[in-house]
Amino acid sequence: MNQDSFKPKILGFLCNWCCYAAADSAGVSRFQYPPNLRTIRIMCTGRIDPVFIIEGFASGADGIFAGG
Amino acid sequence: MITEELIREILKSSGVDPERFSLEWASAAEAPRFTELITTFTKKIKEMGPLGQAEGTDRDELLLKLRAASSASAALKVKPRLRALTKGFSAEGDYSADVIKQKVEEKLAGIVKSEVGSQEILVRLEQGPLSLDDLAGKVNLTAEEIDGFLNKLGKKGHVSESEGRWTLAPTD
Repeated sequence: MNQDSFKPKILGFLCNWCCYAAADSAGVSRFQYPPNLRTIRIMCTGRIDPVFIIEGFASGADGIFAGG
Repeated sequence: MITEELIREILKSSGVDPERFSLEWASAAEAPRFTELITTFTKKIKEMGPLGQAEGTDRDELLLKLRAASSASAALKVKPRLRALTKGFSAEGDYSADVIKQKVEEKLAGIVKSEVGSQEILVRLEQGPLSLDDLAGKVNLTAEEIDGFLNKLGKKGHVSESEGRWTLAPTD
C-alpha cells in the first residue's frame, strides 16, 4: 500500500477529566490535529484493562493511544 | 503504568509491535500538548504502516494471535496479580519506569507467554486437527511446553490424540 494513501485507524482511550477535556479545548481553540483518532471516553485511565487494548487491535486499529 | 507494561508484554507475545500502544498524559488545560502528542503518534503509526506491516507478519495470522491473546488476558486474572505486584512496590518505594518494566518482565512475562501460547493452541485446534510439529512451528512455545499443555488438556478430556494428531473435543 502506498504510504501517502495509508490512513491509520487510531483508537484513543481518553480520560474524561484530562485528555478528553484537552481534546475538547483543542477543538474550541481551533488547534489542528490529524483526523485519524477515534475517541472512546473513559472515566479514568485506570479503568483500562489489557483486554480493551487487545480487542482494539483485533477490531482493526493500527495504533492505540491512551491519554490520562 | 504497571498495566501499560503488562499490555506491552501481551502485545509482544501475540506478535504485535508494542510501539503501537502509547500511554501519555495531558491535563485538561494542555490542548497544545494534546495536539502535539496525537500528531507525533499518528505520524509514528503512519510510518509503521497497517497492522502487520512493521511486524512483517500476515495480518490474518496476527488477528488469530490477538484472538488468543484476548482470551488469555481474560483468563490471566489480571487484577489480583497486579495487586500482589503493587504491594512489592509500596514496600520498596521505587516507582521509576525502569523498575516497573523490569518487575513486570520478571514476574509476569513468563505467565503471559505461556497463557497466550496455550490459548493460541486452542484457537488453532478449533480449525482442525494438528500434529505436535505443526503447532510447534507456529506457536511461540517449545515443543515440550506444548506437549505438556496438550497432555494436561487431554486428561480433562478437552482434546484427544490419534495417529499423532490432536483434535479438539466437541463442546456441547
